Amino acid sequence: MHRLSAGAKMSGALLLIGAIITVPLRFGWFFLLAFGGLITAARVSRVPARFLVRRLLFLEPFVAGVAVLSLLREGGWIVFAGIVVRSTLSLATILLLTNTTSFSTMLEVLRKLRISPTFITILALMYRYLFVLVDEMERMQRARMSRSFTKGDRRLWRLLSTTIGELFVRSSERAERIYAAMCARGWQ
Amino acid sequence: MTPAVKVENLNFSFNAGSPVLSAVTFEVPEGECLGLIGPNGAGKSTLLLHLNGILPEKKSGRPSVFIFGEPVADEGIENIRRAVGFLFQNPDDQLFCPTVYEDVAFGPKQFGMPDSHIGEIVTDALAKVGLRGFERRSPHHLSLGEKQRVCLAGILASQPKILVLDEPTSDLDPRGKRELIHLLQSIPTTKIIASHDLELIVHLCSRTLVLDNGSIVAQGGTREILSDEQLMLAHGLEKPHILQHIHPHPRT
Repeated sequence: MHRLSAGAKMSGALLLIGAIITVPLRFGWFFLLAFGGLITAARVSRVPARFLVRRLLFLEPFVAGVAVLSLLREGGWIVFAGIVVRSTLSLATILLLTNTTSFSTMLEVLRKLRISPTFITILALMYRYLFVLVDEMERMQRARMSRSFTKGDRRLWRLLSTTIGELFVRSSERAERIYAAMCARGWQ
Repeated sequence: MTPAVKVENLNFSFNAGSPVLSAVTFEVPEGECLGLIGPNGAGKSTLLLHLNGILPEKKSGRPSVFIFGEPVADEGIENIRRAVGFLFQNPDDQLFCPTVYEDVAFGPKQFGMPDSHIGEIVTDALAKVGLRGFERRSPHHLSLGEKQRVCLAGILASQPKILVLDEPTSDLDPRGKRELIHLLQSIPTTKIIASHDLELIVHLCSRTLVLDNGSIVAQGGTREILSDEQLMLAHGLEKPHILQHIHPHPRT
């Protein structure tokens, strides 16, 4: 799985998701098949099942949040089941794709497909600085915890909001520095 | 001979606030390594950002910076940026691509190098900084020393004629610093290094400028300037230990 060409994996995933979304629910066998296929793919690619399930559970509240509204109408549970099954299978497909393909090779495929270079640059920068941002947030949180001695205080929430504000200011300053660095190497 | 860098009566302030640089004038002959020292907030980084035209954002009036005789102006800025390689203070700001390969290839790609050459250029640049085989690595998982060296490779890949380095050793451990000094010594281009690391300046620079409060307060041979204890203390600096036993007699 890891060695398959990124283009093949990406188009495969896209096709599968398209099918999962459009095939009517009464073809239950199709969804079972897709489920089985995904499990086999995960097995073959040796992505740990526990890891996949944990990621999936992390995303599931968002699915449930959308699906739960459909329960309010008559006979809504079929719609509910449809949304849950379709979203879960699609998410599993994406998870499997992103865990067997590196982000930069996916960008490479997009580049070959002549997707707008600006969009690809934005994606690349986002991926690069997501982790830097998380690190920065952890550092600020650690500094904050080292100096706050109360627990569960309402003031902590206020502190949290200032942390978020501070992070925003720092990020925009960093963005300026990054832009300067890009210009210095010929970006136009 | 045209100097590599010529700065003539450079004045600058952010948004018409108090002046950050006032009447800065100096020249750097080709091949020289110039040190730029001064306390925090003296304007060192601001001065460096003028050398490749990142500042001022709006270039109007008479240009005051010349690179090999070419004025730094909006017109022809690509050539200036190609000639001047800039190493920023924080390597995380400078490594903006998802992989080391793409980052080192960024400069040459922007300057229109044909794709067929780029692979070779990247391999060469990484070999120069001692990071052969790092192409597929993600910058996030490198040590600070390695990040700094990838930044340097990214600059060398565009084959600049002048290297501008802003605090190159601030994040490095002693070994990383030693390696960087050796590496920079092996690169024969003109260099301008701004740093608080006076040992680095002594090792690399033959001439040094002292900048304080936006103006040049002293300039001359590195050893003479850095041995002048009065001058150093007056500007938030100190005489480095490696010069403790050298007296500021003019060298014959």
